[in-house]
Amino acid sequence: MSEPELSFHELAHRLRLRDLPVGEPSPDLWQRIADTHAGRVRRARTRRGLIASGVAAMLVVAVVVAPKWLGPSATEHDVDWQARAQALELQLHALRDGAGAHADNAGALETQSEIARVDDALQSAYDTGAEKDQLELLWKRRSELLGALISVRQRNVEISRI
Amino acid sequence: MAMNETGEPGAGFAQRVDAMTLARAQAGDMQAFAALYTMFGRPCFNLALRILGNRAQAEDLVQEIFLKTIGTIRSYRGEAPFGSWLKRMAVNAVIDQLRGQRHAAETDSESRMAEAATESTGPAAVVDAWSLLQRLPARARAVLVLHEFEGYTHAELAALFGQSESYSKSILARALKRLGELVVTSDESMPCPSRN
Repeated sequence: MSEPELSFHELAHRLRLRDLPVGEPSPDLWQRIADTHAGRVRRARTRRGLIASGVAAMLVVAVVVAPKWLGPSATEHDVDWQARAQALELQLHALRDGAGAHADNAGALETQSEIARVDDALQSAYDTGAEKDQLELLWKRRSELLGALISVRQRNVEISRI
Repeated sequence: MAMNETGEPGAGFAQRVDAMTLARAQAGDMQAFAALYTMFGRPCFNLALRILGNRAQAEDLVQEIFLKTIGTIRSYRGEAPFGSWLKRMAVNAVIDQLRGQRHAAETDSESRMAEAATESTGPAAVVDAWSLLQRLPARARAVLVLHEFEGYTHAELAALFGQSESYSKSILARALKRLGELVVTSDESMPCPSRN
């Protein structure tokens, strides 16, 4: 025997689907939803606060601490190599005066020759109206050579005292 | 015509929301959301309950739907009535829930459908329509509820489930057949006052 085929409307009538009890959610469901939302908002605010604190800390590092870390290399560009060379020149003279006459070793003599070459280069640079950068490089080289010469002479003074 | 939960026009998801309440909700006013919940909490709950068949799951889903509403209501532009917008969100949430249930993946299989029809159908088990609906596999119940109660077309159901229209028609036909079998069985096993 074949099974009877019922349309939905017949089924709905037979089952009285229209009379299906209408369910009611728990009375406190909205309160739970509102509480959950409030919790999410609080957490989002905390997260935003943490992010803001992090950004503020990074700004502090960038503005206050980083210049200290980067200080030496940043100020290197601002060094007045000409003035520095002149200061070293005075220091060298003071050393020579204090230690009396000492025969310079080969290294010191070579450095002195190099200083003389730099001086020539500087003179011709000024004569030809060279760029500031080029002059700066020459003054820097002169300062380095004077520094090296001072080191050599300081060592010589110490050795002679021993 | 599809049946809503009360069968009356302007009830359920068809309720109209005044512009002021919507504007307040879009501005984040929780009192306005409470008013929207008062209007639509029950239709959402019943939609979820009819398909999922479990109160706790249905309440969790209502919570999820309203939290999502709070988060996305600013994107509501008013092209459709608010109830339709919310209903679409609710149906999508229910379908997502079904997809997430391992059990749902096998609900439309022939074996599960047959199992539903051969389970014990004593008088106490088939006495009300609600329990009969719950005897259908979840996906079949979803298709039946959405098509017959909420007015979804097969084309819309196909899009919702990511399947063809023939799939939706097939699921519905089989669900109705099984329901019919259960009704006949219950009629035969229960004394009917009209026959006496």
